[in-house]
Amino acid sequence: MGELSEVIWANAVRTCEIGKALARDIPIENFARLPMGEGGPIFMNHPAFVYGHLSLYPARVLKMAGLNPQLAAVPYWYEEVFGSGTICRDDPFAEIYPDKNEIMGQFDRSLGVTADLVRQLPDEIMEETHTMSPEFGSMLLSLGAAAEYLLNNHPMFHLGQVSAWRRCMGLEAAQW
Amino acid sequence: MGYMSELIGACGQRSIGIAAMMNKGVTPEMFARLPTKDGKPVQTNHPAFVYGHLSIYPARLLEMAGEDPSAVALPEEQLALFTPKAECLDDPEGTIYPPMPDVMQRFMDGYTKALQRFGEWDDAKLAGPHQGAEAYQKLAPTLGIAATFFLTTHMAMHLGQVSAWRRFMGLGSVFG
Repeated sequence: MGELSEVIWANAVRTCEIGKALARDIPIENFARLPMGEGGPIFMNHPAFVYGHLSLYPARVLKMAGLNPQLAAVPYWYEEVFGSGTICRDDPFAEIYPDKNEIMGQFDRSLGVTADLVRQLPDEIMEETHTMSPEFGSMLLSLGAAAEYLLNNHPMFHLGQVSAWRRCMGLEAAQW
Repeated sequence: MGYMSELIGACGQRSIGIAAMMNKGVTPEMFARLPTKDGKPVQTNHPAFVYGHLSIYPARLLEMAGEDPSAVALPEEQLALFTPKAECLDDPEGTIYPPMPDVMQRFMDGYTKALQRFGEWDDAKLAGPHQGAEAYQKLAPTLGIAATFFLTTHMAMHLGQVSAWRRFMGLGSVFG
């Protein structure tokens, strides 16, 4: 265990807990709903999309670190509905997205498993250059920076979207 | 520069870049407005509140590191507006919050300076304790974990709120 990996682990664990707290009181039937505005649906990301999308990235971190990505893998078709560039759709009849319990299970497992595995990595590995494509981020060239981003920054950005979605759906601020 | 500060600094720089992008298309007139749904304001955070609130933390981080925070500290009269317990208020007349250029300038200046100072801290300092209050000791036992929280985690969450607010206000995605 290195000092870098300890920081990344601590942040990822906290992010996972905040993510679960934000979802806890969301009714299953609203989990994949877009809020309705005065002119129709508001095209923001709903929780089903956010948590499914975030479940894709832990396996990539493991792959970048030379670990087995299957340990955090989600069903192969998640990429088709949750991948970067896909559109978040309103799903009133639960025809597009898995249900809340399934998605939250994938989110919790994939992030938790990956955080624990990353924690065991020495700092020398964290300082190595990763193999993701350059468009991923020219500022995040090392494995450590990429892992920190994918297990912490990126999830928290999307969890902020869930925070705002909650307010639009009449829910109060979540407690954690 | 220690490797940890390089890694976290890279993520922090990316966060600041995203923060600047989030203002694309945002006008001073809408900067401090709450969106409406069914004729009522939605109690989510608008950009004036988010960027103002985030501007509290460069000074907080420097204090926790035992350094002089005065160069990045918010004016006393703004602290009450942006404290975590403050409510985000609709400001149609521009009488509550500072103007958009002022808020953004303080935000960018504060984080730029904090990141510069942060870059001078070595890994031993970041792996050690900080001088934050008890609540921060529980949240982040080392200065490095606290720094990642303020420079990345916390900021990302609030920028996600701005991302969702943009959609409420009819603005598009800033990515892609």
